[in-house]
Amino acid sequence: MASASALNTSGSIEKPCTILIHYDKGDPPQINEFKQVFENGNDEQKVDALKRVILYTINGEPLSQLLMTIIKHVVPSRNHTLKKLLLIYWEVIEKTHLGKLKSEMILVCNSLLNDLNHPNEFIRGSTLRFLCKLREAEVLEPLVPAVRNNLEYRHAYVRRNAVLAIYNIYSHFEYLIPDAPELIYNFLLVEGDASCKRNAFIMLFNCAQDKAVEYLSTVLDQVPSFGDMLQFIIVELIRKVCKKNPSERSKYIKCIFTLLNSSSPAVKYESAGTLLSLSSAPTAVRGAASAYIDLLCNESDNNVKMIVLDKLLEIKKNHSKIMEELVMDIMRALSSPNLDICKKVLNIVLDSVTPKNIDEVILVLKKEINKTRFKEFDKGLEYRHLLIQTIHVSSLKYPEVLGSVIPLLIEYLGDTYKASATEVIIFVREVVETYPHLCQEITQKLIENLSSIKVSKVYRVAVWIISEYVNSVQDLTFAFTSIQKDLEELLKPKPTPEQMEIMSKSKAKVGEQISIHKLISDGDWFLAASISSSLCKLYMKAEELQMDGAALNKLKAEIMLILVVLINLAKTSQASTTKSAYERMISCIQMLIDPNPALRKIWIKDCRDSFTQYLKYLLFKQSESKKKSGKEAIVKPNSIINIRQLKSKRAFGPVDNDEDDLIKAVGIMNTTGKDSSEHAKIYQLSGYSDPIYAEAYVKVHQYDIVLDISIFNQTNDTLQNVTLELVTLGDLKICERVPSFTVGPREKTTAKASIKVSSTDNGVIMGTITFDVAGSVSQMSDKNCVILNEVHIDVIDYIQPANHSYTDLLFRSHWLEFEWENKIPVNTNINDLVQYVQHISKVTNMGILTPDIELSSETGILSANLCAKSVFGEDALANICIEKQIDGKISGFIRIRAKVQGIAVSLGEKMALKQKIAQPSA
Amino acid sequence: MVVLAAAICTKNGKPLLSRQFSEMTKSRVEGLLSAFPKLIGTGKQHTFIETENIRYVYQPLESLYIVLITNKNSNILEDLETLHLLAKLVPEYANFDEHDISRKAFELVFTFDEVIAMGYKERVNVQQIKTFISMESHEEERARKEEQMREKEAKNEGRRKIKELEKIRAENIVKGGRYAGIGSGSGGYIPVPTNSSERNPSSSPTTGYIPPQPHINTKQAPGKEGMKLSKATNKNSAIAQVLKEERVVEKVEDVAAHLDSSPNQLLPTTPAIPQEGVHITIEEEFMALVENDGTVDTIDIKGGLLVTINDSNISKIKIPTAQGPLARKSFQFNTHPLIDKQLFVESNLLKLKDPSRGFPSTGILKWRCKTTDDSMIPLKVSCWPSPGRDSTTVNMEYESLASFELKNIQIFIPNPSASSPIVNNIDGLYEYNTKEKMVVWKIPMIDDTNRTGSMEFTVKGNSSNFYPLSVFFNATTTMCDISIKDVLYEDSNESIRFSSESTLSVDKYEINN
Repeated sequence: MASASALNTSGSIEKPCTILIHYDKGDPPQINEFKQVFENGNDEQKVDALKRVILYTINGEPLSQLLMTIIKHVVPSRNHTLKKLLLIYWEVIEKTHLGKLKSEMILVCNSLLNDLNHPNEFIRGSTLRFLCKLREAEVLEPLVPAVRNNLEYRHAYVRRNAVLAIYNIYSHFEYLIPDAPELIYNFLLVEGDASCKRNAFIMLFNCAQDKAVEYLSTVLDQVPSFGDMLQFIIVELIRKVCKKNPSERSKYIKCIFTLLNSSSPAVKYESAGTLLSLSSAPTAVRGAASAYIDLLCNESDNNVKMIVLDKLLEIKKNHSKIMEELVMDIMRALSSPNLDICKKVLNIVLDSVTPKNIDEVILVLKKEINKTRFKEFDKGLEYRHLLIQTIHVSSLKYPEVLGSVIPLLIEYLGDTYKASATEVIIFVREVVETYPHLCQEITQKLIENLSSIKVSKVYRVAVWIISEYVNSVQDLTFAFTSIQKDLEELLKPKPTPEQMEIMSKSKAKVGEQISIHKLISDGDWFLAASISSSLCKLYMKAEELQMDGAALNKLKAEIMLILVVLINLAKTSQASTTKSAYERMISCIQMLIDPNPALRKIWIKDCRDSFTQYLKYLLFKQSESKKKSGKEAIVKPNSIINIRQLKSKRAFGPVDNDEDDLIKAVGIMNTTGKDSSEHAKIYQLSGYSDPIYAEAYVKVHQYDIVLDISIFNQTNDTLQNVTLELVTLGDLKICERVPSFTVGPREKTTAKASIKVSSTDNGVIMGTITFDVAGSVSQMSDKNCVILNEVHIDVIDYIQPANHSYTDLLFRSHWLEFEWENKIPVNTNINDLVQYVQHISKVTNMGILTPDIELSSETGILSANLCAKSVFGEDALANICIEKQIDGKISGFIRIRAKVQGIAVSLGEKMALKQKIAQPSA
Repeated sequence: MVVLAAAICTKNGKPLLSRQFSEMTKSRVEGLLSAFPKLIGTGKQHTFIETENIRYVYQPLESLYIVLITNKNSNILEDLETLHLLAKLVPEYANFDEHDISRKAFELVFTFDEVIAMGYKERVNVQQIKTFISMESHEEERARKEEQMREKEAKNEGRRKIKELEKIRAENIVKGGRYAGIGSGSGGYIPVPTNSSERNPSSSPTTGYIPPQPHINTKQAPGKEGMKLSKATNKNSAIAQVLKEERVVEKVEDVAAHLDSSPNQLLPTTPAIPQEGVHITIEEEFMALVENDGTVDTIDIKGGLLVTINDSNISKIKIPTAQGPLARKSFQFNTHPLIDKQLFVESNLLKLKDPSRGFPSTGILKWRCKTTDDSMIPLKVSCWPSPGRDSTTVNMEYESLASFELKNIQIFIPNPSASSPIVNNIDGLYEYNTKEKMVVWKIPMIDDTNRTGSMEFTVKGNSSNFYPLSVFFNATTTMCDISIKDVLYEDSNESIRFSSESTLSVDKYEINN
């Protein structure tokens, strides 16, 4: 025991910390002053002083020399606050010295014993609570009888803490109360207070599960009448027990089912989770899912809704059938004003539509989308976009509803919110091509709504659709007039520049509406060009549809007029895109003047064909990526394979990794055995011929770095006062100084230093080792010193790909927002564009946001977005724009943007360094 | 499925306070909390964040966040309830600003403790918690009243005793003059240089320079002393009673130690032993001058054995003694002229040469050791100043080679600089005497558990002149380690009840550079 605790203290970095209070360290503590106060001060001053002593202690300055004074002068006090502070003080001080209990602690033990028998129940209670944190058997031992007596004290407050104290003593030092389970079991049988019972139950189920089960089976029928507190813990027990012996499950399922209807939402939630882990029978899953949905709709708290939705998503993964039945209930949650919640709901809905429920679903969605029209509607435009998206995807699955959906959606073309309007028009474009029977209706509707469009891209697609799919002269004329009307402003006689200026000024004053002609005159020449070509196409269509000669000529003239006006405007414009737009418009004119059949074929037919092909390609890619994501994870040959048939029936609940989860959360990661890659993280710190040879093994945890330093004495002398002094550069902080130690001749010791990291930055750790040679008479001033090599902390360890949490939209908005940019010229020996992007993603740990289908080397140019998040919550974005040169080399730039400088710089360095791949033989 | 920690932090991630309910390391907690504000996205309408391993559930409180760290399987409904309760409690004890939260941190931690037990939420409301925190208990009130009654009685008793005592002392001073203190074992307290004059009378008897006392005086004085002593213990026991009731100390033995520590209290540290018919006092004084490098200039140990016969019926006795291993080797013994020296040398028996005479009630044996053998120093102290540019760090170290316990060790270190020292780490206690510019390093006791110890302090200025160090200590075992085996009637060889005490004290022990 003693040796074990000695080991613990030697690795003092890993000591658990129970309390953390921020304290601005001012002057170094004045021990004398403290002593004065403790000896002579009044209670108030003592309270204050003791607080400060505790603060010093928890912030790394143990004032151990005050221990005796405090024992002498503070412990005797009756002051309640002092008493409680003392408990915290005992909690935080170092209670051992060189692995042995400090002798002063015996005195403390004495006072604790008194407090355990104190007439004040609160003092008893809090002292018992403190015992839960005490890990020194020598101190606990004499207190055990008093703790036991407190189980029978009249105040529940004392009893419930006594139970916890026994629980902790038993779980750490079983031999001190070997009969604890028996004791608590009997206690549980007679106890009336819910909280005491709960604690007793916790104790039993952690220390003696069989006892807990025994108790549970005697009261199983009464469970529904228990308080929520006890129910809660019973549910937890059932989950644990059943995980161990699945054969017991049948016994408890009924109980859990009743608890699903508990009035306490917490119990309900817990029961649902437990039920899912117990059984995957449809009834059970349905029960659990309904309980979740009940919580989803009745709890007002958004957090609950979000987490419940996550649970439902999980259920959906394994039991999609059941979710399909319940989808209408889930949709009730759309009434929440929280967009994130609606997003999740719609996400579930999207995958759960079936031919059976599609009509209902669409009905609800339509209703919702109608709601968004009202001004007071607070979820805003993004919600509308979401709804449109959902309708889009779900109705494409079941085209029979398209007829009723499309006209509704087209009304939202005029939306100023770009995303939803774009979504609609893209949807429409797809439908028009895939479902020719809707073509006529859609184009008509589109023409009607053309003038309401306010977004350039939407207008472009709209005119393209119209020109492509219009199939009657009437519609065509209607479409043309509509376009002509939209451009009317531009067609008016051209004002002189001065007048323009005056006009634009006066217009600005009026606060002019966004309109298509405005967009063009503001320099959107791409729009102008596509309108031109669409007009051109309209003319050709008109020819095909055999419009009568006069009208056709008129149309041609009018189209040419528009083109000329646009070309003239383009000539005067300064915008950079003008040139290509200008050329495009000129070619349109040529097309109208000289109808070449070959060109005509391109305009009329090939365009449509390539679009059809594109759609096919999209579908193909989608199904391919679905296949990919649906693929099973690779299973290592030596891992256990669960074979459903060999397990007891329906024991196939979701894997319950409760304990792992807790262990992970607390941050204790047991990495058993270093694999070869970990050996790469060993740094040599000093030379082989130095008197001390040192090497460090760098373990990077989430927020801290632990240096495991091995120190070898290379001399034949004993080295004393070996002190490791570490200094850091960057956002690193040394947590604790490594205490000095002595190394015998030719011996090896290890030391641990932990360093806190608070942001993603390339850090450097430097250090020295100083030591005295034993027996040498030299003065202390000329200490021996070994200067250590630097250890560079790799920023990549903190970076995680974030492409799952990012959307294109978010990327763009962050891209604009982030202030730091680092631009790195591409210089690589990789010759393939996609390979290069993947290489960068691999070396920087950044995720590729650009979907796979858009990554291709065929065109010789490539632009890809990458994004990552550090564990400290800093985002980093990168954009790679590369082009293949004639000589096969890749040229271009990588731009990294981040909110803080550190990560942008360090990622940049990393990329610049690693962008070449090692040639197999150079 | 538990709350791992409850914390309050500022919007930019400075943790103001955090209470952990599971075992976590400090760096982990700090890391989690400082990462937390960065993870809060803008425009989110829910207040939890999930990372790979944990979940934060939080609530903004003006410019602060109150946040629970839970594992991901934790029951969100429970956690939210806990969070809301905490958020309700915080304003009961502090304002929502950084400063006030820090100031009231402990009170808040207490409330957190009431809400969450080992990570599980307790079913309590704000009102209940307030009661828990205020800790007002009827039972305590009742118990205290009872206690007060008893205490009052004990105090009255004590006061009466003290008065009596003082009366007797006053009489003593009138009658007994300077010898009033002999029997009270005054070697037990450590003289400090400032009041060295007081020390002389108590040390003089042991050196044996005092002429034999007139019969009447010696007979009277011890008698008085005995009475005084018993009174003193009575007083002690009264106080002990009080202290015991006050739950300060458990055993009467602790009382002395307890009282001793209080300032202005000059009671002997070793509890005075009640004297029997024959009382034997062994006193030894240690004097040494050494240099910091360990060279011993002189060591001079002088001791004496003093027999006091309180019972006039007893006169013919012999005293067999035992001696430690060092005694014969290093010490020279000198017996009282009336004692048979030969017999003592041969068989360690103290017996009169002439059996017809009465045994002298005085010092009968003296011993001395003058040496430069450093193994005779029971406590070695070394001082290592390392002058820096503007401050000097002094490392002090002690090592006790003796096999017995040393008590009340005080090491006086002169401080050459004007500023008071900053003690960086210390085994034991220290005091700083600003007037004398002395750092006093105190170690209450050295036994086998702390044979070595160290202290490090820093003073401003560049200096290495921390000499001479003076060291004081005492012990109940002497260097010579002579002990009384028995006291026998000379003729009948029957044992006589006797009492003895032995003390080792320091006359002068200086360490020079």
